[in-house]
Amino acid sequence: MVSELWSRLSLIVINHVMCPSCPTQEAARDAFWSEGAALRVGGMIGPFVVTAGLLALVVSRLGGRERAGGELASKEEKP
Amino acid sequence: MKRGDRLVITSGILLGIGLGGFVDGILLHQILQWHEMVSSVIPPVDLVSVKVNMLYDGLFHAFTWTITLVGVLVLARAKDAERAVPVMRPLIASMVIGWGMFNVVEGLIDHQILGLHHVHPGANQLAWDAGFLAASVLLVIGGTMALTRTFSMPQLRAAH
Repeated sequence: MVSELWSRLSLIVINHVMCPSCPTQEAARDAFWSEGAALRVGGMIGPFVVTAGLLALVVSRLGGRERAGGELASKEEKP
Repeated sequence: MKRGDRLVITSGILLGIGLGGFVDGILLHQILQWHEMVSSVIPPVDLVSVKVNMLYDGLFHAFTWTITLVGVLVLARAKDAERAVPVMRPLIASMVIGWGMFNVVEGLIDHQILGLHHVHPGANQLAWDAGFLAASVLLVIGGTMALTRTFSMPQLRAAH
């Protein structure tokens, strides 16, 4: 009785909450991992990685400028 | 330029990348439906291919959301750090730079090199892609000019 209730509940959850229209979702997952997936995923993530690299470059240059400004200020303070 | 200014610029660029990604995803992918993330290699012609593109769009949005969150956290760190100029001008200028930077990189990688999607697929897709790149370069140039000008304005430095 309990096990039947549990299995029916699981079925309801899988069919209506976790995985609505499962056949298309499964097919979509298969298509996601089909040939060329690495290229597609790389193309999706790549721009974020490259832009982050550019940002790191900008930030390091700003840090250099900040340090140079600090050194200049400390030299000016010295008599 | 002080530490706080550097943090504001960093957060602005991150927010520009994140929010710019949302503009692309929400406006061009979802509302106008000009393209989706991989719509040139998996054309959304049936329910399954639409779902695959939706999955890639979801992952793209997950990245833009994460970048936006990091931008907000960096901005929060800038709050108490010493700054040479008020927050708003460098923040807006660097957001514009970040938006343009991301679009240039995304346009080159996804549109030109990999051809995963095009801005407006069809007869004039190259012109649309080129226009997208040109507009993005203008954003970077305009943002950089505004940022440079902000730090060279003595009245802003004096006011702060």
